[in-house]
Amino acid sequence: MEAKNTVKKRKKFKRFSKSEAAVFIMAFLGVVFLALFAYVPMAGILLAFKDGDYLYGFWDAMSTDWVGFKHFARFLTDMDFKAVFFNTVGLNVLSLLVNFPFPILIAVLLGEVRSRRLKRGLQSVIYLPHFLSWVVFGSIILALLNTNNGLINMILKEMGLLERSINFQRDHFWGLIIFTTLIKGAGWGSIIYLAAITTIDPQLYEAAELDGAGRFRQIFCITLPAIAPTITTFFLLNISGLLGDSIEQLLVFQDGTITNELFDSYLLHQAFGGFDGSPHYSYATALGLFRSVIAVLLLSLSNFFSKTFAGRGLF
Amino acid sequence: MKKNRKNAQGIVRKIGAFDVLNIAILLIFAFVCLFPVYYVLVGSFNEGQNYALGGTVLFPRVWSFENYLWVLNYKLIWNGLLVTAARTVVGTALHLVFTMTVAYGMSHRLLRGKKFFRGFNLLTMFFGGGLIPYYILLTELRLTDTFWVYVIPPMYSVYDMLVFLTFIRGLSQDLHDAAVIDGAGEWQYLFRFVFPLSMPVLATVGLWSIVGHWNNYFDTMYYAESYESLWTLQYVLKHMIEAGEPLYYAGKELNAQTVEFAAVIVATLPVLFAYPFLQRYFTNGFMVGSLKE
Repeated sequence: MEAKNTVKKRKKFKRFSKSEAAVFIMAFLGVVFLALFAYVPMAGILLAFKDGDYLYGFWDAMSTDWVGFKHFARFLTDMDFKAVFFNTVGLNVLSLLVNFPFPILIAVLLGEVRSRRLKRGLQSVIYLPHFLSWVVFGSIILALLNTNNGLINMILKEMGLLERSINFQRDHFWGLIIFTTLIKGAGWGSIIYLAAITTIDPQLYEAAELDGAGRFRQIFCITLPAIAPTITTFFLLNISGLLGDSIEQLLVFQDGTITNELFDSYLLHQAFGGFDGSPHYSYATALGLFRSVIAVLLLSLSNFFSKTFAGRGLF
Repeated sequence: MKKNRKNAQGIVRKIGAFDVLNIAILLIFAFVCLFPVYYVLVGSFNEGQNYALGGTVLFPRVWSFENYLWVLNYKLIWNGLLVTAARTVVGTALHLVFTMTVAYGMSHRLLRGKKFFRGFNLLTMFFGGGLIPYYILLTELRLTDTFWVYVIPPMYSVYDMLVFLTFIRGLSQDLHDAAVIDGAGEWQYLFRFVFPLSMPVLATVGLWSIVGHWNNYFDTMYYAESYESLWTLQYVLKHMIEAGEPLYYAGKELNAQTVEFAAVIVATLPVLFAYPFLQRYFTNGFMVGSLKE
């Protein structure tokens, strides 16, 4: 009996060979890292249901009372939060409408450039803004839009289109964010689509041309269908970011007015010095959880719709 | 590729209205991308009071090097440059080695519990604890206000791991088996063969990492703001722009804006110099492959 048992056990759990142990350790390094830097913070979500405000450090905060959904109730009834929330959703929907198709357009147009040298030259120039930091790029844009001596305002006034300078930062914040995202990201964003375009079999175009299809026809009947899977994938990924913005971009362009506050910066400002100037960790954790849950919901929903109607999804 | 197809057909194409319009649109976009940088370059060489009048576009109206002299005499800029360079080099090296090692383990057919490993990694791509628990963790680990906060948290990325994984799957299995028969262990194989063979994908992901490290200011602003000696270049720049204090050079008051321009150019020069060399690593289809997984 005993001998039989040990045999069984051995069958169940084969000892690791040297190679198996090595690759296990390698993959396990990733698990250790994520356990610490991704899963421990997930456990930290509990803080959203505690009253850890005004406290420093995790254990101090965790030793406070459970307060249930108090923080959620607070921001859901808060007027400022409502403004911030709709501001964020509005801006991001609009930004998605502009900034999602534009890189595709750029990629398609670049794909149609016949001269290789011109194509490469254009590529190097339109990728450049991606390599500048938001501090650098932002300060340049703000200098150009300056109300006193900014070039844009001066030109518009010179042409008689304006009487007084426009304060873009204050009055056209959405436009500013959408436009700067476009310039900084569209060229770089086109790479992925361009890579997909270059894998298209050139014979398809030849055949289409012999059949008398014009360039537009070729784009709509060959290029776009060929890169459709890439487009779907990136669209799904973009949908889940409706509450997310580049925080470095926001912090450069904001001028401190509440109308320019978006979800991520609101969270940050609440966390490190909120309505009364002191940190509100629990409150901000609740905001963060709200944001994560919405992102997951949006992703699952859009994935579901994509699977149902387009036949393919992310997972 | 398209050019070839025309040549193969022996057709000489005329440049049509489509081409003209196409190139015109692209040129306009390229101009909008490039002009801001040029504008700042011109402004940085213009005398400050004169710049304030506005309208310096093509060339500096009144040349001046005072802006640059001020910037070059600003200690925080030099220190920031040093910190940024250090975090870029150390951070990128750590990121590539660590992420590649995990990717190799994940890609291996002998890995046990593959499902668990995949799930454990993928979940973090879709859900996270949010900024505050993360910030508290960094504080509890005593990483905040140290140099390590710049390089340890970005050491691993699931996304980049998947990019590596896809690439490694394309490497020859025969080579691996031959090396193992010759007595190489998995670690040895990883460092002697996988790393050198993965140069193209390492270069691409390395480029992403370099850009991320070089341009980041958020980390300094929220995780390492206490000591000026830890300020990165971009944060020094941001601080300078926001401080808005009157700046003097050799007893003369300068225009803070043109000094800012000079600082912007100094902070961007390394990027502009490296740019032509990095270009060949821009285009690739690695991302597409990894996302289809």
